[in-house]
Parts: sequence; structure tokens; C-alpha cells
Amino acid sequence: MATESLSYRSRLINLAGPWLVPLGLLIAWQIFSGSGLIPRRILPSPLEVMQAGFHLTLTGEMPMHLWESFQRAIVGLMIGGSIGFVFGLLNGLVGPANVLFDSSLQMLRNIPHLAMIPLVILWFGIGEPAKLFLIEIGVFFPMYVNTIHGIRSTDPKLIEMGRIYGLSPWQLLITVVLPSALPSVLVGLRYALGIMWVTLIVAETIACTNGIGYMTMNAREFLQTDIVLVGILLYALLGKLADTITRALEAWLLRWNPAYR
Amino acid sequence: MPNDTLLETRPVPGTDKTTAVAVRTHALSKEFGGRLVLHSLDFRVEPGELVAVVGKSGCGKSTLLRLICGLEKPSSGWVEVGGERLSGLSRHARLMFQDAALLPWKSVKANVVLAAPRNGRRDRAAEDALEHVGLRDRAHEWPSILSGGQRQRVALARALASDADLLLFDEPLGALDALTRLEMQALIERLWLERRFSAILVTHDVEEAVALADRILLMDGGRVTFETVVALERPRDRASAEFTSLKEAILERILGRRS
Repeated sequence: MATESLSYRSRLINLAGPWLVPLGLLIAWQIFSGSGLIPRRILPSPLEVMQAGFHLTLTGEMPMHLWESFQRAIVGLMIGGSIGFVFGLLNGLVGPANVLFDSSLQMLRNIPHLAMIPLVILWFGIGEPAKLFLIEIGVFFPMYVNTIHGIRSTDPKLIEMGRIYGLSPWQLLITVVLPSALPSVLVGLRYALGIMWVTLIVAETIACTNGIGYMTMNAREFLQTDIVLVGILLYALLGKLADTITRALEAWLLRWNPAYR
Repeated sequence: MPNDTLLETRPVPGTDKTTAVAVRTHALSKEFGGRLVLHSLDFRVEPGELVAVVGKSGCGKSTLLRLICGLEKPSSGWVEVGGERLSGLSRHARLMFQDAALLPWKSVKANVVLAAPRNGRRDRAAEDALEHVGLRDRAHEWPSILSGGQRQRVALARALASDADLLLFDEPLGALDALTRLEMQALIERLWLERRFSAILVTHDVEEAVALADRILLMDGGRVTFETVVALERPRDRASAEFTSLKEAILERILGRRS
């Protein structure tokens, strides 16, 4: 009985625990801003931010910007991530390809991709391709590095076993090497998602006519601090959402692995 | 009389494709970075024979198995399995390591199915093989939740499902506790008696060799230094005087060279 109630209580703590600090901060924020201790122009109260969020949703402005940002992020991730994955695969599997490409790629990896912004603007202007290009470079490297690492760390015993049981090179790739690289590839995906959001924010604040970044920068011009905060919170929510989805994906794809159960 | 012979060679149901093969090595040598690991070895295993190779670590016994399996190429000499000179991987041989080498992302059964012949009823073959090692009811589990002994049994089932004619054991029980090891030895003997595949068992456990093998080879420094036939009846009584004296004699030979 005692242990039962204890386990119930510890479960409650585990469930509610992570929310306590944000909730406390939120309440403190409401008290300070609501009472006028902090000027509205600096930091509007949470309720006002929520109102602004509602208003932007009702007018359809926020969903539109959100959709634009989301599309940009996904398209950039798909293209850049796939190229990174393919190069990781190629260089992880084929020795000569690795000799040819890896050191060059490692050199490029050391350039912060945001440092390319002036060059990207000169090349692509300030349109959509420029933003996609930045996201693509940003997500390329984490996917590349982690895919190649995953493939390299395949247990050689498993490959020998596969060969002994007559698996063809293609079957070896599908049944042994790729599943073995998967945990590492998913780590790469999570890093890539982080970089994807950062790049998106920066790209959308440079010069843009839609997207959350634009919405935020536009609100800044009119001193609408509440809308700026809505934008920032949206990024936080999107980041958390992406992380939750990848975690769920990991838990499902790697359910064979005790470390992920 | 012809009927008798027929009866005797009648395969166990579900195991009809085992056709034990002979192994011969001809002046087999292997060199790693200038160090000779095997010295011109002439070695033979008759069809259906279980030969144990014992020796200290680094004596070349694992290398011998890898050469017979075709995972390594000889520096000189050659290997013959089933009368064919080996080039590349042997299609008869299955190697079992100390590590069960199961794919952790496939269920127990899927791991066994992987080895079953492509043309047959692979599901059925896998289930039969798991039945043989007593793990049919664990077929849908992940390998990670099995114990070390159970994993080795799955590896054994995998070799059985592939209709191996030649099983190469590279200290497969080395990482198991003493009780599980006894169980596994009994299982290997039972399966071998049922199916009569040819087998080479590399081990540093002399008792294991005496309990299981028809013949024991002692290797030292890449050469076979001693060979003896184990003429004890099966199942072998480990407490019997013959068993103990044979074990002692081999142990002395292994240790004797050093002093």
C-alpha cells in the first residue's frame, strides 16, 4: 500500500516536475508586467501575449506565416539532409570516395554557414532560394558526419556473420549496415533540426515577406512587443514539437535497443 | 543389409539436407605482418567427425577456423572442403564465435530466417531450428533481452536452419558461466548426434574437448604438436577414470612445453 502510493506520488512528480519552473516564471512574469513594474513596451504580460496570439490566429495572419516557415524548414531539411545522408553513405561505404571527398567536406564544415549570408545574397538575391540554400548547408553537415560515423561503427563481426550466411552486398547494406547506422543517423537528424530552426530564424529576419521571422521583424518596426514575443514563443514550440517527433521516431525505430526503451 | 544401411543414414525429419563434408588442409600457412601464425599445417576432418582443437591463446587455432571458413586467405597451401578447393567463402561452413553475432534489430526468429536457404520454406525451417534448441517460445523477442546462453542457442539454431554441413566453433562457450556451459555442451552433442554434421571445436577448455570430441588436436606455435583419438563411449562420464586421466594427460602436454 505504502509503496503503491509512493510510486503514484513519484509518478506525479515526474509528470508535473518539468512544468513547475516554467509555470513559476510565467506567474512571476504576469505579476511584474501586469502590475506595471515592467513597462509594456519592454515586456507585455503573458495574457497580452496570448491575446496577440489569438488575434493573429483569428485574422489568419499567423497560420499563413507559420505555414510558410514550416514549408521552408521542411524543404530545406529534406534536400540538405538527403544530400548529407547520401554523401555519408557513399563515403562511409566506399573508401576511394571518402579519400576524394571527406577532407574537402571537413574543411567546409568549419565555415559557420551563417557566415555565407553575404555571399548567398550576392548569388541568389534575397528570394526563396537563398533561404533554402542556407538551411540546406546548415543541415547537411550534421547528417553527413553522423551517417558516416554510424556506418563506420558497424560491428565487423555482424558483417562477417552476414557474409558467412551468404548475404549479398546489397542485403548486407539493408539488413546489417543501415540498421546499425540508424541510431547515429537519428542523432544527426536531431542536430540538423536544431540548426534548421536557427538558420530559418536568421534567414527570415534578413529580408523576407512572409514567415514567422518576417512577422516578428515587422512587429519590431511598429514596436509591437507582444507580437515579437508570439514569434519567439512559436519558434520555441516548433523546436519542441520537432524534438518530440524525432524522439517518438527514435523510440519506434530503435525499439530493439534497450537504451531507447 | 541394404535396408539396415538405409535406416541408419535416414535423416532426422526436418533435417534432411545435412550431408557432412570432409575437410583437408594442405601445407596450410598463414602469415600476419611477417609473423607466421600457421606453419604448413596438414589437417583433416572426416565427414561427420567432431574434432576439437585445443591450445593456448595465440597458438593459431582461431586463424585455422577462419581459413577453413574462407574469411581469410592462406599465405600458402590450400583448404579443401567437401572435395573442392576453397576460393572465397565456403558455402558449407558456418562459423560460431564467442559473441553470438545476432542482429539486435531483428527478432530472434528473423535472425534465424536470415540464414535459412532462400529456396525453401524459410519460416518453417527457422521455427524447426528454434524448436531444436528449445527456444521456440522466444521467437518473437528481441535478442537484447535474452541471456548469453540463450543467444548462443539462437546462433546455433541459425547455423542449423542454414543446413550447415560443417560447423566451426570458435570458443562459442567461452563467455558463458559454468552451468550454462555444461548445458550448451550437452545441446551441441545432442544436435551433432542427430544431424551428424562435421564439426571443428576450438576451445581452451580441455574438459570440453574430451567431453565432446572424437579426436583432439593440440596446437602450439602454429603447429599440431599432439593428436589423440577419444575412444570413450557417449554420453561421456566426466567422473570416470579414463575421462580424468585423458584430460590430465592433455593438460600436462599443454602446460609441459612451457616448463
